[in-house]
Amino acid sequence: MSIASAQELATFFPEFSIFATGYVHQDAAHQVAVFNDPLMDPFKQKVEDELGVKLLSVMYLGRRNVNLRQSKDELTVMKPEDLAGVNLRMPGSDAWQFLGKALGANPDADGLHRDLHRAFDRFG
Amino acid sequence: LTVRTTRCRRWSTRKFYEVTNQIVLTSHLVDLNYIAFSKAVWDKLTPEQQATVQKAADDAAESGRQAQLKKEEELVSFLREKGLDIYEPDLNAFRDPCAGAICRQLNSRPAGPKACSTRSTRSATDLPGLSRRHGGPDMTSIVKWFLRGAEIVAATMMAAMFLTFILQIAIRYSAKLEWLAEAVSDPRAEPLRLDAGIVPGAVGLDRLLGCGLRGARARSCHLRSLSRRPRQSGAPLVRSWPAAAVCGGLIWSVEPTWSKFFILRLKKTATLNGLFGDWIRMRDIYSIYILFWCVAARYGWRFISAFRHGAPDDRPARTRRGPRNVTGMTRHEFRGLACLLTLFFWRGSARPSPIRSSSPPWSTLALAARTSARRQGLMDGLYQSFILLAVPLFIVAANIMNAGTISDRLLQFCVAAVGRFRGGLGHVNVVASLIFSGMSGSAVADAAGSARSSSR
Repeated sequence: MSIASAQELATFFPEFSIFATGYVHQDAAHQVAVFNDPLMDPFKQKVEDELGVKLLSVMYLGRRNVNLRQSKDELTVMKPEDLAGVNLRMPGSDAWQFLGKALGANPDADGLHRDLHRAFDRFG
Repeated sequence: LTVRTTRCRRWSTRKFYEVTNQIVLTSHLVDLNYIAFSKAVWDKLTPEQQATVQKAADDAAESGRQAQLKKEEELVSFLREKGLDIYEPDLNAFRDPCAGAICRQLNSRPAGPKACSTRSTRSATDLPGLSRRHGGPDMTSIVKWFLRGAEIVAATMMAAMFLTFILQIAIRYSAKLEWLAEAVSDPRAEPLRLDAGIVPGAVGLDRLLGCGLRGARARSCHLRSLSRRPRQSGAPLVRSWPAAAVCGGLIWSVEPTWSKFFILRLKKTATLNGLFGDWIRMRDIYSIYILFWCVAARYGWRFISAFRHGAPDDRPARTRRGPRNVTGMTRHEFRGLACLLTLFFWRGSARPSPIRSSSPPWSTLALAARTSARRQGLMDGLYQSFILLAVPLFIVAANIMNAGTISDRLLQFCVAAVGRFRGGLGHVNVVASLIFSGMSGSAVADAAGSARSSSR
């Protein structure tokens, strides 16, 4: 038994990237409803057939929010335009970058972070 | 200014609140993980067992969900206490552009999972609307060449350091053995030393490089698969010249080796009596060199087959050997060449000045055993780069520590000790490095060991 994220599955099946897209799920209960809906059956079936993995249930990881270095006096965000020009550090994959752009910000692909991981992976 | 998006649960443990001033509750992604189960195992279970497993998964997800929701509420008040501004933006304004973008994404491709099922290997990057950012092609290739070049340099340096280390050990212990000192100082044994130096060196280094570069190679293979272009076929001679070089060198050493055998055949009394008694004959020991002829035969066969069937890369069987790397050779050929180059270029580093400048590396072994004064000089030369010698071993040691979870435990200890101070991550890093350096004494081992854990 293991856990798999929608982003991981999206690298095999592009259609899974819809579950990693912003504002698709509304809350934890909605996630469960989507997972148990007949709409999900072809998705599950495909993962079973092609990866040999059965998806049993959906876990709630929490809501992602934006946290800012600026104080509220410097920058108050009420609408996407307020985030224009703000560098948003997000993972490098395209699904994440797309999410950052959709928020109205300027997503940054974690450059330093990624290189560090690569460097350490090289020794391991 | 750098900001990031975070799930709430990391807030208390990672102390992000120390470096941030406000949180905008965009709730832009309700994040999820799926509980996954092997289908093969699932099919073996009875229906009752399946139901039990399914229920366990559902229950676990549910209890985690409730705990997470509860924690989110607690965290908001906790962070407000810490002086952060937490507020909700105009969520409708956020939802609209996101929804719009999703619609664009969906409309630009056929809807539904079935439409995509024909190309299951496509990655998410192929989605229209999520197109990859393209740099200039020139820049990409330059960067690629730099990366590959760095890999090659690193590989060569690693090989050189390993070899020097091994040689140092060999000199250290062989110098104590009188019989070996006599054997290598015998002028008739000169060609044999060539064998003893170059062949095990080449074969051993081939293995070592193979182990050390596995990760890097996998990655560069991946890079290559992204930018695959049609392979050019070249003349077989050009393509297989490293094999020919190895083969030629080995064949060249057959004659001197054989003459050594001849001498030993005459000197039937030559035994290791000084060490183990006279029942071990030198001739029997030296017969191990027959193995090296097999290496010569293998490379020779490859060279011949390159002539008969064309360049190796043109044959389909060759694809399973892996793609060629930047030098146009397969990795086997490249590794062989790297070994040879290392053996030839290394010699300048540890050689004391009295030795004649044209002496090849293997002669240092002989000279070291021959005169104690020169041996002393050689050892000094080696010890001056002692730190360098130990670098690969430190990395190995750090990897062992990682595997044995020492570095993780160390980090946990430091989190418990100093993690509560302001800027805890930095303090933890410093103290972990302090303790780690007490164990290893090496910055490199530190980077490969504790830094690797803390970066996770």
